Amino acid sequence: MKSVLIKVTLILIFYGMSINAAPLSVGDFQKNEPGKIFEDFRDGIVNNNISAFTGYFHGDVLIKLRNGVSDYFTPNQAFFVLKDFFDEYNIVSFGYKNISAEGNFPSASGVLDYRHNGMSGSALVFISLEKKNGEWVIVQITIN
Amino acid sequence: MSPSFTKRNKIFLYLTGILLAIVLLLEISKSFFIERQKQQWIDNLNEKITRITNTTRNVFNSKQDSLIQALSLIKSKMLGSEITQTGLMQFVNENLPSNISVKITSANGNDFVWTSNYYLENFNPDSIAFPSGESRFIASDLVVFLAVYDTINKSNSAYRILLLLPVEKQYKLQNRYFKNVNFTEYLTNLFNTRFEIKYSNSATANKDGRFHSFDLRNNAGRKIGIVSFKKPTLDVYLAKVKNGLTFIEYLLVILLFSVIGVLLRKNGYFKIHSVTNLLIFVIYLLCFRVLLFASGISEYVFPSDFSNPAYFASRFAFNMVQSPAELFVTNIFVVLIIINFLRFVLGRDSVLKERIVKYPLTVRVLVFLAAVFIFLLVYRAFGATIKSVMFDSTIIYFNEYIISPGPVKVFMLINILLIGFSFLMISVILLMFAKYAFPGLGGKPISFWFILFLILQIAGFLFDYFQKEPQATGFIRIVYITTVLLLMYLAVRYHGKQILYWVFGLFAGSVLSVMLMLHFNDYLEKDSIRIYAKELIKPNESWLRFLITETLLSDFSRSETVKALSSGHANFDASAFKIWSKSPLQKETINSSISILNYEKELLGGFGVVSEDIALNNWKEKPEGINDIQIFKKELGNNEGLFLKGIFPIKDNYSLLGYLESSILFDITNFAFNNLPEFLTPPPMRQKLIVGLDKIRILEFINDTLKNVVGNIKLSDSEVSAIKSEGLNKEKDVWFGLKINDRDYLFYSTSIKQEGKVKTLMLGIKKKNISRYLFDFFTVIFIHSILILIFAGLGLVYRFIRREKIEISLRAKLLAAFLVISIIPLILLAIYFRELTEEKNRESIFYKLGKRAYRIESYVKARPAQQFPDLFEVFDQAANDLNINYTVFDPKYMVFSTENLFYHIGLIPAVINPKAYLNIIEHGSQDYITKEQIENYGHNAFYYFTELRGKEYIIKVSDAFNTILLPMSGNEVDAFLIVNYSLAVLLVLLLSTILANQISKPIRKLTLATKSVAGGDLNIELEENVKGEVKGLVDGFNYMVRELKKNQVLLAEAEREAAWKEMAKQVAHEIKNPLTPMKLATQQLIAAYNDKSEKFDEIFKKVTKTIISQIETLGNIASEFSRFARMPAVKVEDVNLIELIDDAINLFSEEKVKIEFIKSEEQLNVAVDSDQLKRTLINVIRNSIQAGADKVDVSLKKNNGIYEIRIADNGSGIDEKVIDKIFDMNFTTKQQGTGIGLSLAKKFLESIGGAIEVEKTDTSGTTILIKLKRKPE
Repeated sequence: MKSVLIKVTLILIFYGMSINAAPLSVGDFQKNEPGKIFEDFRDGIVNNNISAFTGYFHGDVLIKLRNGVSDYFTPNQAFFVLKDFFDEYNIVSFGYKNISAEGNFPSASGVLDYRHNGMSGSALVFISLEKKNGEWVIVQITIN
Repeated sequence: MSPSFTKRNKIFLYLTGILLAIVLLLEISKSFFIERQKQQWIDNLNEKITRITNTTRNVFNSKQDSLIQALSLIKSKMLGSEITQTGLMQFVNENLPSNISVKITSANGNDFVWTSNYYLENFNPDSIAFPSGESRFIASDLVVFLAVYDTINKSNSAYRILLLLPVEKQYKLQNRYFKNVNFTEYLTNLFNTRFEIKYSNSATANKDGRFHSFDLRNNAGRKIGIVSFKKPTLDVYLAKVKNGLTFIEYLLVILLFSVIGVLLRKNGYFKIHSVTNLLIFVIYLLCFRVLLFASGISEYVFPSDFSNPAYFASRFAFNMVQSPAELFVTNIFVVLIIINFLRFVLGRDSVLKERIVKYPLTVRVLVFLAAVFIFLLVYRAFGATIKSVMFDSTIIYFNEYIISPGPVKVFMLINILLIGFSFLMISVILLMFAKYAFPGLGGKPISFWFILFLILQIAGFLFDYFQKEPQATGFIRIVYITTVLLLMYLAVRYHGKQILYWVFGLFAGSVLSVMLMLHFNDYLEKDSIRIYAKELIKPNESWLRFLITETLLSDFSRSETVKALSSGHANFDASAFKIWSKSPLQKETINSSISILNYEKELLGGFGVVSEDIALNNWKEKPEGINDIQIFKKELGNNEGLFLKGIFPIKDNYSLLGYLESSILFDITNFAFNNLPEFLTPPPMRQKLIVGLDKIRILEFINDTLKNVVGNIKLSDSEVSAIKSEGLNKEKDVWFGLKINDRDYLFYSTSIKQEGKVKTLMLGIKKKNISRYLFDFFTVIFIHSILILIFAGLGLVYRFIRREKIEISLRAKLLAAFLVISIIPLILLAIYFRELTEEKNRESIFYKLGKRAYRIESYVKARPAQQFPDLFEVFDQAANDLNINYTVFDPKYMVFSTENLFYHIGLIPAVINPKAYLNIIEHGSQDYITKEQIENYGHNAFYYFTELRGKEYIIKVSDAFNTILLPMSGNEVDAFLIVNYSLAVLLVLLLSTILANQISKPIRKLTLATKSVAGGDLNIELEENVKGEVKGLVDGFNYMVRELKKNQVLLAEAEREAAWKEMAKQVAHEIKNPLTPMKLATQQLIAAYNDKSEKFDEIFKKVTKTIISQIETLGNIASEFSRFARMPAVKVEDVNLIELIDDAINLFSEEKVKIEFIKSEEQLNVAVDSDQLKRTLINVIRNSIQAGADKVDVSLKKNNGIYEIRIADNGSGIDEKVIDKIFDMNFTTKQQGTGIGLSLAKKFLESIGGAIEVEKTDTSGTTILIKLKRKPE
């Protein structure tokens, strides 16, 4: 009985480790048009659910944020960098002012209202896409 | 092991209960506490507002006090002694805080004394109502100062003193040189609420009800400004309280868990003797880790940078490695688990081997293959982990020639070290199972290792061959496998008991990790080049437009422009600079500029590095106005770049004041090589891009024609042809290598079709040479070595605290002595060499700067006034023709500068360095050399006195604006020293280890031999192939042992003889006593018989009684003597049988015999005479060696309450004819044997209820079986 319990426990531990062994990248590509990506990005920000658009990261993403972050990040890093930012800056509203979905570098810009340490503020947002391996991916996010 | 509830256990249990109760209580009372805070909010709020107000005033007052004190100091100096310019200038520059500027003006208005950081040249205190001795705020174009002003009359002269303390810079640079002075920002960060400060005595309070305002008053109680701050809000406060309470709860739970851990440990559950205990240990640690992660405690324990995901983040392990701090905590837990797992496996080495060997061949093959396969997977995982560490991070681990790492980088290097160590140890564990499956592989031990090595190398090769993307090179794989095998061998030998083993494991982990890091760093460099190429080939126009829009529409840009345009005498250049510095343009390494125009579109001022030659001016000719932001684009000819200009009208109350312009020039020739000096350059374009732009060579082709070459590279025609054939007209991006100017380059080529033309960009870098790789390698190894030494030191301290004996062997002492003797001179030499190079570099810099100054003087003097009347035009011409940047002072004030803009906006003081002035003008020196600073950017300045056209001037040339090349910079010297001295240290380490080993080996052998002799083994003899004094020692020892043996034999014989003699004497004496009365009684009986006495019957009875009693006495005497002849009493005590056997085996560690001890426990207590048992074991093993055995297996088993010790050797065996006699006293087959060893052993064992027998013997070896009872009879 004891040895059975030990074996079961070992199996559970290894299983738990192995199910988390795989993902080093955040998400799979999603075949979507730029418009859809911009929509998901807006929804993700407004609902504080960054997983809604981190699936569109592939390779290095340039992220510049109001809290001073400004660099290229892998999808793994980008997820946590953005998560930390939105934990600090609570989003009140976000809307696009300009969307350019055509061409080789579709982009959109807008205004984001937030509350940070009890203070309200607003920031300009810029998002830019590029086609990699036939799929549209997010290559730049600026919240300044 | 079941817990016994001792008093201590009870204490811990009570503690557990108390903590649990507190946690529950806290959870229940949380809501009540928060409600109470809500009710008390108003009072709390007023208290907070008062506290913030008072603290702000105190901070301001301390600044003010420092200023007033400085003023008093100057006044007392001036009043107390004779005033000389030199003395006062020196005093002011050396005795005041460096952030206070001073200017003292004499009665005639001349500047008498000033400090090097004085920026307010044209300020006249008389122009404003500025009461003497009172502080007030004064603003320059860039900075707001707290100022105080006073006058002194001395010797009929009046002096005006002005002191300035900067409180707020109105610009902000995004690089490491910026000296941030911002009172508003300081207060905002201090109190975590927004502050606004108006530095004017006429300012009014903020009418927004969410803000609280109060006056700032000077030392005279006069209002000089207004401070407003946003009042703390209840929701923010409550959020903080809730977070605080939750955190306390987590802390208590962690404490609770720790107490449970202590309890488990004290009750032996963490003694890893069984699989159950190991599981309990692992599960406990896993749960503890999850708890720490959920609590977020690492954010509070570690500095904030260590929790920044920018430095490292991964979603692996359920996000428990999402920052450097979390990675570190996870690493610690993993290392603890692995070390204990390995010790568990090593402790049950023989048991596991026995169990697995019993399985059928098929199963064993499967076990072996599985172990090898998982080993290779682990190896791949190691590579993937290091890759993640390198890629999922913005840390650059291999900066060119930069030695000293920042704290986050060191922290991550610790993580890398632990990762390397963990993976190596996991691999060792896996290979142990491979070893158990076929322990006798190859027959001999050395064959086993060799075959295993071959199998792993072949398997590794195939493993990598069939992968699309192996995680490392073949060389790294070979080193990895070899290192793991070596670690495995050492683990088996030392059973992981020595700190040295773990230290070696850490070093091995370090070396392999760094090799992988270097491998992946090459990929990162390639990535950098790819990213640059992508940005260069096609600029993201929407992004550039966004930058311009953001700049023009920002609140600050607008308010600053309105302020400038509304003022009658604004410094528009300074305003443009402020706007530029706070705009996103400043963060980008593209050429940009800001201009301010009036409503008639005339340029009023600007700042930036966009050349006017390509300015876009056609919009100015448009008759219609510009009512909103507009962005104009101009493609530069020949695809040379892109120019964008944004314009925005600035209005105040709907009336047009002017325009704000922002321009961006994007072209390859100026990409990131902007013309700004270093103190204005933004930080590295991207931290992630580890190759500096200055290292990259860019070639631009339009169709097949080479259009642009950027970077320090000159191409011959053949080289251009070679480049074209490798990089042009390819279907996709390519990498290729090429030799250019005798150096190997690596190029990346990418193309784009644009308006019918093909634009190809090739970006190249010089390939790294071996010395660069060595430098990178040793830099990290050096840091790792320091960390490992710290860990080893902590290990020793831990042992010391636990009162474990720390034995430092002779070998270790010798090694330490050799290292100290060798390394100290190396270090001293390195320091000397470094100092020398620094000195030479300093001299070189000043020589080169001086030479430039002389050239300027010669140039100007060669152009006489008659032909070149305008001296300043000549200065300008000199700068262009000679390509030198310089400044001319008259000799106090700046009159000309090639960097006039920086002086004009106030970034650099326009008054000469006071020390330079004093030395040259007052003391008559020809030149003066000094170090200066702009913000925090240090540079060298050379001042040179000259007379031009009858006037005195001082020419200043500095390396802030002139590139001075040195043969070897400080960093390059460090690189050279690190590489070469690291190699030297390694060599010293290796040689010292060998020497220490050689010298101490005979001593070690002697020590063990002495212990053997003390243990009763007199058959030992040391080898005599040594020389010198040690030979004398060895000879003496061998002689001593031989003599001891001889004397022992003689002594034994003599003692035996003496004992027999004594016994015989005693026996004779004792026997005589009863014999005499027997004789007398018999004589009496004979007499009575002869006399036919009447009392014959009586006498007969009496005599026989006497005779019988004396016979009984004789019987007693015999019994007593028999008891006496028995063995001496044994001294029985409870001993750890495993340890005893280990000690006996260790005495043979220096002999040419391999003794393996097969045991299944670590502790097995038995009651026995330890000395005699040890002597028995030593005897038996010695006999095996003397029988020619080179391998002895000692095994221990429990068998129905009896402990069986088997000593099996591969010697020549015992002759059948004598096998029954070997335990007999005085029987021996050896020439010099005493024949008593085995017989004494048998007697001893039998006396305690044990036994000794020959279990098996033949020509392949002998097995002696010793049986012991758990408790002796």
